[in-house]
Amino acid sequence: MKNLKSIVLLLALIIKVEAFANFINAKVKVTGITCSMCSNSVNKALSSLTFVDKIEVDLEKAIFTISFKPNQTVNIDEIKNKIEGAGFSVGELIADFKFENVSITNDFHYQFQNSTYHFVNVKNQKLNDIVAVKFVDKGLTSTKEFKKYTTLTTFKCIKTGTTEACCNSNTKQRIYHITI
Amino acid sequence: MKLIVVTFFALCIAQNTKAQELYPNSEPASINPKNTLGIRLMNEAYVTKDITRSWHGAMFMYGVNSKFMISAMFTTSNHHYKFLPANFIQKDTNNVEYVPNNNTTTQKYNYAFEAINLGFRYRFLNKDGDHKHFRMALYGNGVYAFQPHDEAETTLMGDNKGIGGGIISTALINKLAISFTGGIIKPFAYTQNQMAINYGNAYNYSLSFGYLIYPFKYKNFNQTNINLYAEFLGKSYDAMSITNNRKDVVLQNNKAYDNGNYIEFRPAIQFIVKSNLRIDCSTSLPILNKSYIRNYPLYLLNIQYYIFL
Repeated sequence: MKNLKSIVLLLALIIKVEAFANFINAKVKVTGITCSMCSNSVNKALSSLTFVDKIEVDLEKAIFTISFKPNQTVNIDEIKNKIEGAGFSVGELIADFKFENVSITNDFHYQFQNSTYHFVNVKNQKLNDIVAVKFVDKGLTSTKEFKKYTTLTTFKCIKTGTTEACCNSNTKQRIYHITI
Repeated sequence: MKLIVVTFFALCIAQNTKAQELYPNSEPASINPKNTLGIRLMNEAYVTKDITRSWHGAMFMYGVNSKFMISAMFTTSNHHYKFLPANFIQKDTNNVEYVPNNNTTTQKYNYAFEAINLGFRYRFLNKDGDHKHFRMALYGNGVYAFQPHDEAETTLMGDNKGIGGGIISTALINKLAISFTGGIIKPFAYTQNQMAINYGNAYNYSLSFGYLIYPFKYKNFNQTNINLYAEFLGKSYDAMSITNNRKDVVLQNNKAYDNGNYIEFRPAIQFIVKSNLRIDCSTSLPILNKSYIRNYPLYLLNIQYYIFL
């Protein structure tokens, strides 16, 4: 009985630790930007996202480093939508993600906060601590990069960004494609 | 004149310039950011032998989504008489003189509310790259104007009732921001009693170049940006005709009623303060023929501000 309690406690702890795994920040390169007024529009739009804590902007390179509030669900698509709403596009999005002992293989589908993250073109490895992951979905990277990654996996979900027959899932949901 | 053009381009080439597309005298294919209200106060002035004529407009722009924006502009000026002038005397085909204005008191060019202009812009093509982009947009305007206009050259900036639309292409390649606009204006007739002025169509086109000259390197949002622009605006318009009681009126030989075309050069300097307040100063000089509805040089001052909703 005591053992069972310990196991439950331990499980709860693991789950809790797992829940703490999170996005820390994202570096977004915005393309099409020509002026500081444009960067300001993007900055204001991104600031309105509830999960955004603060934003640092490299105006010269048009790179926005977005820090996220801890324990809040980060929605990468909303970042993309805000940038597109301001009139620009995402050229590259690299996020720092804190992993807690996650073993990955190529094409591994990682479930996290109601979304699935599909590792593309990666080696088998165990992820611990902060890892920079690059998003390779359409609209989250350059068209050239997106096309390149579609050839690096046989999974069809990379083309649509949602669950396909390849994903062994009955529900249609967003699948982000990331690489390391 | 040539000196200004040469100096402008020499300055742009000499500096370590970047492209800019916030054109003071035309619109780029890019649109107002989503959920953002842009407010632009526009002012134009030129001197005639009697008075200084000025025109003022307040434009409100709103980005509905990433591709579609709407705008509303309200204008006032001292460009118009309240009625057509008493000397606007024409004869109809029966050689009967028609005086459109029986009011014998001398009219003055007082300031009056001119027009409401509602518009949209739809960006249908967008190709963004690293420090480059190519965009195309369609635009359209509908104007309700309240003041009489007795010249063949028409505008949708307050002079005429009517509709207009066109296509804009803007390309940004490293240091060059270039934009081309081609549009058509279809004015509606102005009527006073039984008389109607029927204006011909007008075709407007523009070619714009823009450069950032300061700062050399962007560091923060508080740096004032200075941009230089060279814009070439052209217009060609058809002749107007007048009917009285639906009968054609024989027009006096007056250049104001004839068709015409012209191209203006509009150099401009722009200051962007704290990445939001935009101040445009420009002038207009004729390079091919002249506009019939204004004197040169024309001075323009625009102030624009974004409110992020």
